[in-house]
Amino acid sequence: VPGSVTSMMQTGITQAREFDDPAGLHEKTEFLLREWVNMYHSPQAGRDSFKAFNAFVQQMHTQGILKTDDLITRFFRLCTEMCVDLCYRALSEAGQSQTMIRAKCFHTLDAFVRLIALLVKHSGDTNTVTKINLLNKVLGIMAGVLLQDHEVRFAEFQQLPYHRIFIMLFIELNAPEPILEAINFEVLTAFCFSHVFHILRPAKAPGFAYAWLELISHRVFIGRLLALTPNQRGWGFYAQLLVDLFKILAPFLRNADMTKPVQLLYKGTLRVLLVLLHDFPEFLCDYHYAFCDVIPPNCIQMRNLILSAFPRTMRLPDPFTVNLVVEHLPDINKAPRILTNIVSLIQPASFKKDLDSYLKSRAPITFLSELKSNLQANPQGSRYDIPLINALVLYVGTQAIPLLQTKGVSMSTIAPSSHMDIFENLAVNLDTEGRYLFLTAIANQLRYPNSHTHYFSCALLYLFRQANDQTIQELITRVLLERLIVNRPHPWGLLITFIELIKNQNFKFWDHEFVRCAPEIEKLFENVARSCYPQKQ
Amino acid sequence: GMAPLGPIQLTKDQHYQLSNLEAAYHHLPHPSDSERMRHFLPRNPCPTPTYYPSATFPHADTVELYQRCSTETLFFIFYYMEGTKAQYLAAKALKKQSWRFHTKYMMWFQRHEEPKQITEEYEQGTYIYFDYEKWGQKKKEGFTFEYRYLEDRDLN
Repeated sequence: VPGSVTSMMQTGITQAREFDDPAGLHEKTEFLLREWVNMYHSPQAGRDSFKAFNAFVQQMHTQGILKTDDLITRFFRLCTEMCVDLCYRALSEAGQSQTMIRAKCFHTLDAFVRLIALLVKHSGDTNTVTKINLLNKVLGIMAGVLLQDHEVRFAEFQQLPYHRIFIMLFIELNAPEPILEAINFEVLTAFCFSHVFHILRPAKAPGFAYAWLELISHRVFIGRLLALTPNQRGWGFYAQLLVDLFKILAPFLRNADMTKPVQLLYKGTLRVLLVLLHDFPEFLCDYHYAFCDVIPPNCIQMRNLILSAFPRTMRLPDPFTVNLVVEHLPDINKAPRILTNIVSLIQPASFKKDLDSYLKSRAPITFLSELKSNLQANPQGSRYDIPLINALVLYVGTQAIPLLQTKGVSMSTIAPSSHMDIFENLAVNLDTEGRYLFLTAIANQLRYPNSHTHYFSCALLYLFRQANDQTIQELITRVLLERLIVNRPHPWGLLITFIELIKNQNFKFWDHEFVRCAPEIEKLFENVARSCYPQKQ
Repeated sequence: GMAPLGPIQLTKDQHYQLSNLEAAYHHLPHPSDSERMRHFLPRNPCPTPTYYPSATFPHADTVELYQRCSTETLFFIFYYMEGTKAQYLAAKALKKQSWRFHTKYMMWFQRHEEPKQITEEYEQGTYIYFDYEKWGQKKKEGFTFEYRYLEDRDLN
């Protein structure tokens, strides 16, 4: 579609690599940019530089810049390059203080940002499409110049000019003004989803990662996307950006290979999650599945931050209450919102078909014996397809819950059933790694009081009780315990499940050898147990 | 070792990402990069001893606190922290203390006594004002405060 936003941005990116400028354009642009910087800083500029802008547009006309779209695009590209060059020169000057260098850069960058904001605001009169097209084009040019600069300079790449331009432009375009409010959603779209911030995600421009993290965690940005945009229309955009962030960290976290730079990025990520957990817990609730799918299984605390989120209107009963009857909680039959299409993740289609027919008819038995190899198929790093295990576990659970509506979900009602057949088969037939991933997928559903938490809590306890092999019980204990020995927060459902396991005599928890396998483990269990019976101390 | 699922071989892309991160780590964003330029009081981070406060105390951004500041402090905030929430709060506190801003002289005035004359367009009398160039309070007798220069926006 000509004129669509993505194509505008793509044109911008491509045009950032064109260098066959007409003769004299470079000089004209340089002259105009210098003029504008002076006008912007002069006391006569008027409120929001408006007077200066009117005079400047005249100059642009006189110089013939506004004649064609192509010339305007080139003008922006050249301006961006000039601003960037100026920053590189300033940053390389020896003997200057940080403050002086910064002031020098900001002097030009801020003027340029204001020029862009004014041009976007006043282009095409009341025609919002013109404004948005211009913005997308300009952002595309910036992204193009950045990617090129990043590639060419490699280790010498500087984040500063781009960081400053993006955040200042974002703030300018989110000012409380009617013209801007009319296009606000399109502005947000241009900045985040599949657009400029996503194009510049850390995997694509790792040298820009720290500035990028600052951009997406800026209070104005989070506020706009998660709080001020009606009907949660900004949530999906923001979730995509967080997934981009988790993805670059994943291989390094998984390998526990934490160089200083990775540690810093990780620390920043935890801070963003803490802010979100405190201010927008519903956001973390809704997207927990998508996030846990890309966070490596060994990142316990990072996942706990996400899984501990619960809706602000909910009051969680204290998990340590004596005789707490989970079945009687008002929210326990309500399904949580999952904003990921789980069904589409169960691939290939033939496997999904076999799965559904097994769930329906509990046959053929070969489905179970082939299950392991179906999950092993694919990729690098693990012998298992982790996203497929996650999707399978949640899908089977959500299929089971409605069928139990009349009887109620409990350890005595969830089996026998085709659903528990699958879970029991996985627990028995997978090797240690596969079981660990399977149990992790279950534990990811142990959150605030809801139907999934309840079902998977029962399922996990059922698997523990039915196990005829201590190694399964040891592994279940491990998956629960390793999520509880890290620092808070701890998900409510996880605590409930663990307390039930060690308190309820039916599980004979304390009779197991692995509880006493080593003095420090024994001590650990005693400590945890003590915190589970606070009233007795 | 430390990697519970066993280490994976990093791909070429991931090695490239790691070395770029390392390079970027040497010129990290500065706190001032994402905020408006501070002309007079730029941020200047430096290591401070742990026994000094490292953060402002709670409720430091309420108008009640600003009302407890000396007028001198409020004038300092007003002139040296332009365009910030602090400037807004300082102006609010000054207004509560019956200071009025003169948009032509860009200075704050306070009646020293009841004006000798009050009309629709102006009032005249003796005023105290804060001279930001000499940095101090001065008295002016027989001064005419024209209302068209009175900054009277509602700061709420």
